[in-house]
Amino acid sequence: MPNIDKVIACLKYLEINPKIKDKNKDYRGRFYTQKTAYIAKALGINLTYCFTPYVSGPYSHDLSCDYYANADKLETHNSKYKLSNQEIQILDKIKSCSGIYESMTLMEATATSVYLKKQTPNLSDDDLFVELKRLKPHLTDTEKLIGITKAKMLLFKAEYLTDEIKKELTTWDNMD
Amino acid sequence: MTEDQIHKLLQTSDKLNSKTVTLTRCLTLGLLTYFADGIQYRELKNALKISDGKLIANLYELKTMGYITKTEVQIDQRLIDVYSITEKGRTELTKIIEWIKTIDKIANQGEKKKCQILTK
Repeated sequence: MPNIDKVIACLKYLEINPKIKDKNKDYRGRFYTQKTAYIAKALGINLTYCFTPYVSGPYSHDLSCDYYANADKLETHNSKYKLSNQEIQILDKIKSCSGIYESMTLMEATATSVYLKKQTPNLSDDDLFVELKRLKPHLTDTEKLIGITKAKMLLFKAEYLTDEIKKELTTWDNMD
Repeated sequence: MTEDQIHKLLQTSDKLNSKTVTLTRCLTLGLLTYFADGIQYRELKNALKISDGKLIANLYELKTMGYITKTEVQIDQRLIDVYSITEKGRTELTKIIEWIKTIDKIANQGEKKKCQILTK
């Protein structure tokens, strides 16, 4: 099954309707297609597109070629690909990440932070902030900080919640 | 360098628009070809690391020559200029690449000859 069918299935599930045919219109729709595809890939959906963090990143030239070549399919959400339960869980996680589909700058900050965290998992928050500032100087500090928090939420896995952490969280929750 | 190659180099350079063959303009066209959805002004500025004045002047020239287009896009509460390459711009960039390839061929041939002389 081609990659683009998987991307279309994801967009359909997330109710994103980009307009591809007219290149001068709907920059927003194409922007969200790129960033959603990247976050979906980073969270585990098997897409073979390569993304670059630079300039308009995370961005995939191959993905853009695919959606311009399949503009009709993309605009009508025509895909035969059936999402698996695991893929639906990933998309639900993206869907529940509030604010990223309302603010393009927040989506940009979040997607770039996810990219940097995936590339260097041990990157500290301070270093992540510095790197994000270097790549996206036009983002405000607040946007960067919220983006980093959202990225950490997206990349958080249930197995990180060890018994020790759960116990500590319960203690905090039960505090008056 | 053979006579044919010199002829080809001069012939292809005649077809180029000399106004386009500058570092900033070639880079802009190259970036806009890769980022087919267009690039925001602020992203271009960060990528090229040049002053607003220089960037605006170069973008204006490329736009006047019909190689790029500018559209205003609302990003959150702000209106941001987004630049895209046109078909004419893509053709011009292809011509430049072909011209550079010709120079590369000639230069590399020279290197090979140098190597042959040195290894003799």
